[in-house]
Amino acid sequence: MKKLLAKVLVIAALGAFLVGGPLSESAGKMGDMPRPHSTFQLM
Amino acid sequence: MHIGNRLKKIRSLKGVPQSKVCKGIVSPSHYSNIESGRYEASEDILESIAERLHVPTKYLVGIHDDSPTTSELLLEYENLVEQDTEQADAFFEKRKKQLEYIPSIHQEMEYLLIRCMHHLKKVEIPEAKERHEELTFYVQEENLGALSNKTNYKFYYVTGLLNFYLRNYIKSYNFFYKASKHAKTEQDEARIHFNLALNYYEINDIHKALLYAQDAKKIYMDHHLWKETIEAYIVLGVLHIEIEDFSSAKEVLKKALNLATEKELQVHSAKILHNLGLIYYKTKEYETSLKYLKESLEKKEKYDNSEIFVTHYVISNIYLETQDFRKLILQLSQANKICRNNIDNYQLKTIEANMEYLLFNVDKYESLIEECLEFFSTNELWDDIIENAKQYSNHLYENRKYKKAFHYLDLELKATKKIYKERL
Repeated sequence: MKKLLAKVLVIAALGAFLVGGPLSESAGKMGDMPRPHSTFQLM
Repeated sequence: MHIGNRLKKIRSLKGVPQSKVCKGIVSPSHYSNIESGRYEASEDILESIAERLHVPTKYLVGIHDDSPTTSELLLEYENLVEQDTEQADAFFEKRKKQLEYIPSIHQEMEYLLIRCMHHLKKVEIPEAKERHEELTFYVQEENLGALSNKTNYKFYYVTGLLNFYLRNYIKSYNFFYKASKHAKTEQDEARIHFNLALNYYEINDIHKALLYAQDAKKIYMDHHLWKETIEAYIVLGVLHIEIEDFSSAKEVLKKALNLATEKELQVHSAKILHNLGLIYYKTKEYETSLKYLKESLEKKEKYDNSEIFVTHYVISNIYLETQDFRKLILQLSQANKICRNNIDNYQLKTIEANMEYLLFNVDKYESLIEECLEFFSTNELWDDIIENAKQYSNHLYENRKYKKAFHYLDLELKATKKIYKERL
């Protein structure tokens, strides 16, 4: 019962700040990073 | 290092159980004692075992015999791997018979380290992993103290790199950190700091990543290592974008572009142009963004298309944002052809899902996004989950599907927690 109440509360809280609208960017990393430096060259 | 390490390695590669190797030669318990290093084996016994395992006798009886010829071969191979991967390929093809069974364990270890690095340079990860597994029959954390400083450094460095490519970033960080204890020169340190910056970027600790990248850049610059300096600038640029410090990002990327143009490094220029495009995407200046991204695409197509996907991905996102569906559909079909793996495929699928949403095809959106989130969650791609799960949860909430909304909100939370937990 407590668990259910917690869920309801979370969802109610959600509603307070989740407002609709078009979906924004799909996220994930979008930068083009170089590969790691792979050389021994211990001099 | 004893014969047991070699025997275990051969048995494991050939998939032969202990009982089969020793049958008719020694008792199973005697054999087990040889493998564990408690008993020494006579030459007669080793000869019989070599025959049974189809390996040259010398491979079992000469494990401490360093050969000057092999030393020269390894030195040449290592130099080629460092300087020119294609020449290293040709060298290996020509010499692979000589390198197949190196009797000296110490020299075979050296060989495996170089071979593993060779594969890593070509981003052949499964092959690199196999060589590394062979290596671990000889090198374990406990016996590293008995090995030279150089071998320690190489082992830690290669292991750090391999784990980076396997996306085990914490492990990778730990091995690079250990390698840094054995670094001899400033350049060695710069390389390690550069890689640590990439590790921190992957686990979203951008501020630490910035510190390491700045440090690497300074050393590279002091030593006039221009290609490396440009790469450190690119890392700094992307990191500044991540924390939305766009003016710093522009500043370092412009510096990088000037240097890359001066040194005629086209592949680097293509990367820089992509990242400049990304800045304008983030600031919603889509026309300028597209100009840079298309310039980047052109260069990538001409000089090296291995990182072309990410540019197509950002362009697709721009057409989604601007709701230019005609161009988006064309763009998606183009991008679909150059996916390197399932991760790429599913990233595109999220864009497709969002397009369906904007076109009011809600059912399609729901099934596509659920499929994507399932994939991201199975493969622990937390970065890809957060935004998508949040949006989907939001959508479900608005449609009064509270139970499901809660499930995806929970997933978003889990992803956020994972990302924070992964921080060092």
